[in-house]
Amino acid sequence: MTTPSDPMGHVSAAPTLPGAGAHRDEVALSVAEFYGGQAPTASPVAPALDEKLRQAYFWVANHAIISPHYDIEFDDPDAGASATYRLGDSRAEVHLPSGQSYSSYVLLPLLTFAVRGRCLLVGGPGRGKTASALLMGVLAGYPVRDVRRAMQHGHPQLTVADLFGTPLPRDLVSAERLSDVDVAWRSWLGMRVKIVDEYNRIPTRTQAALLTLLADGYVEVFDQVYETGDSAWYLTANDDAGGGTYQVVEALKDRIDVVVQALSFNNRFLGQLVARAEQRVRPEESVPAGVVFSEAEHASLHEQVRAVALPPPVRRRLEFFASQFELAERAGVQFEYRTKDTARLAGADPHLLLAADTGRDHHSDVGSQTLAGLSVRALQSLVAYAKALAYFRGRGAVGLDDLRAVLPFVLHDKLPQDPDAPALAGKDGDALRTDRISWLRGMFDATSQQYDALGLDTDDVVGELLAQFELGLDGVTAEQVRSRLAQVERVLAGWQDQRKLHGHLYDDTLVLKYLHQRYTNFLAWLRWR
Amino acid sequence: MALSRTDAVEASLRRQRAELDARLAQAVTFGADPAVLRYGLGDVMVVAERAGGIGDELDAVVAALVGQVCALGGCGVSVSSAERIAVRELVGHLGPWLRAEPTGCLAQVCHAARVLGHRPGALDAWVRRLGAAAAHTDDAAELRALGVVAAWRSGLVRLREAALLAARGLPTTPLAAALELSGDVEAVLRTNAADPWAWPEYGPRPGELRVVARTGGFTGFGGPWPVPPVVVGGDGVRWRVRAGTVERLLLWDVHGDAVLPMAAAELAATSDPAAVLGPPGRLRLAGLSAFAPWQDEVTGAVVVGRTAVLSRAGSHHLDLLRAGGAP
Repeated sequence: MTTPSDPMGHVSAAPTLPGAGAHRDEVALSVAEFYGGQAPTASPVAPALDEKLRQAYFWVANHAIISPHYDIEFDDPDAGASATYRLGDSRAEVHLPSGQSYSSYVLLPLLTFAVRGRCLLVGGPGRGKTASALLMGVLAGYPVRDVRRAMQHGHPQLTVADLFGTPLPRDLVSAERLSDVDVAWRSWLGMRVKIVDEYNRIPTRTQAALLTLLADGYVEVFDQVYETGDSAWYLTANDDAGGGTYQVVEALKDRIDVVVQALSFNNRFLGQLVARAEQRVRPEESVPAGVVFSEAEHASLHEQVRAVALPPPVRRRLEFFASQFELAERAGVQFEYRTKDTARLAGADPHLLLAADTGRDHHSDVGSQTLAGLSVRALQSLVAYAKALAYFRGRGAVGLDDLRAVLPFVLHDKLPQDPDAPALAGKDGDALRTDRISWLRGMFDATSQQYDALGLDTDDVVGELLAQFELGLDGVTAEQVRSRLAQVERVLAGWQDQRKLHGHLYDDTLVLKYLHQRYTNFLAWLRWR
Repeated sequence: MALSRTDAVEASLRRQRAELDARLAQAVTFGADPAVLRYGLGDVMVVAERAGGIGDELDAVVAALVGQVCALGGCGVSVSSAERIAVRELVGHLGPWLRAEPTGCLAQVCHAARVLGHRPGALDAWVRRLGAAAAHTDDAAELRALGVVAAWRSGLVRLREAALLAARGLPTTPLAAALELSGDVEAVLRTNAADPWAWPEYGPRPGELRVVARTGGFTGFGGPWPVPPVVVGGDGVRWRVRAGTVERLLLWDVHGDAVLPMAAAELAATSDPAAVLGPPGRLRLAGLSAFAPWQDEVTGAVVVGRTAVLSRAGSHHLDLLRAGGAP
């Protein structure tokens, strides 16, 4: 911890999360811990990167951005459940969590920094979206001036050349081939933190060029290619519904990993704003050195996050949740095509197809609340951010609470809601139609309960068959293969006419077909051999 | 005429007036209580006078002290806080350390004070012991290590291993002062390393058996246990304790105790009340026998050498039964 000579320079003392990570397993107190992480005169002990990330969070939350919101709530099992109070005619619940909780507006940009993801900051004007992105650039070690100059501002006249660079005029005149043209690339392309302000004001043609950079990490102009590498992206928009000057192309929206809403300013903190204005204090100019990440630390941070484990029980619940959304039983004839995607590609309204599926409980079936399923990209983002949150909280493996916490922000724009779904009708549904975070979180909780009710942690025959297959086919005899084929067929026969076709069952059925096909091919090969 | 220490410190403050005034003004802007800052500035005079140093060295000490006052004031620290006690009562005696790294020394001492401040009486004891030890050394690294030893002696049992290790490299005189010991300090520490409850003039006389310590308490009164705890296992310093459905790790030695929110499954369940129960109303251990100081059912007993930790059905406390050495 650096001893501040001014409060803005104050960095929270380690450990910022008592009991996190290795600390939980250590009974004895070390000298460094007793003295707050300070080593003898030689040189200070650098905190572990997860501790540094937490220190960065607390510095931003306590000193830089005035954000008293703690909307990502955790309970401490040792301290008990949170206290809940109900206010007003609508009995609005306010929770006082018993564990360390966080502000999404500060945490998610920081996790984006850790995983080098793509974060969209949305909210009304003047809510600090750009300021938040600016801070992330400074945390990456860039001078404030450089970050400000490198920020790309969306406007209707923005061209590809404005964004990426222009060819040198002399080359344009003298070149005989495209490859002879040198391009003066914009310096922001090489930065580890890239900021695009008001991305929904970029013209569509330029958005397409930005998409290549965002998605694939390279840009091409006049046959010249610039590889930009991994970086953390921060895009801002005043209206997350794609309003503004131009509609945001779906492919670009789909590349966004997480959407964070800039919550409203709490007017009880006006005094702090006034004090800053009077003292000309700018947080981005006062970032303590102790929370700035070097390039090597940033890379190491990313590696460490990727190494966080995703335990099978947590993964299974995510699989169960994700499998709820694609099935549209009446969208096709062939089993594989009974999906919402089939309906959308054919121009049909998935809502009508789902509504026609009578006999299904549309209130408990979360799949009937969406117009599409989850993409692979969305699942990858979800896993990455869950790992990042677990890492941030000092854990070596993702917990269910980590997954639950990041899920609404990652899937905010990726799981399109069916506003006409029966489950969203009525007064209770009004709030869920507008509060996507609560809607998504509620669906995850509902599927978790269904998962528990089905006992899938212990009763998962498809999981067992899949695990058996994944051991490999080396040494498996024809007789064993026939036995496995018979087992697959028995399971399907047992489901026939017995069970409603829900989303998870749809996925399991396709898995069984996959296993059957793999075994069939292997058996044919054994016979041939 | 040579400058007095007071004059030297005042001169240093005047030299740095512009910068120090700006820091104080900023601290007030960010919410520091001016009254707290005023008290703090009084401390700066006292501490800087004691700490010594001249010229640039003194300026650095004064600047670091004012910076620390601003930081603590900005954090809402009160005049009676652990940090202020440590700065006012102790830091001035740590001259060699403070002069060597003014900012680092203050930060570390304040952090240590916060850690100790959670335990009643520990901070005052630490300040007294480290202050006494500081008079016998002028080495910054030794002062730092003495701080660890004094903290363990003052009740921070989690520092036990670090303290015993640090003590090996320290000269005898300041070490004895930090431990408030006389005689063969090395022998005392060697014995204690093997037997965590062995300490001069502590515990039962040779041939005597008695309960020498008690720890715990009901959560409603500030203790760690919601229900009467049951001792399950232990190794002499670490004790595995069960309270209802949760297990906790109790660290307990002659100087202090701490209950940690973790299970200690690696400690085997060796509890055996029969091992300490004699005839009705009597306890036994290591061949000795004594009247039990209470009438209660012993729910758990773990024996390690001449020490046993007992739990009782009617108590939220754990008792430490100790047998004196052979007469």
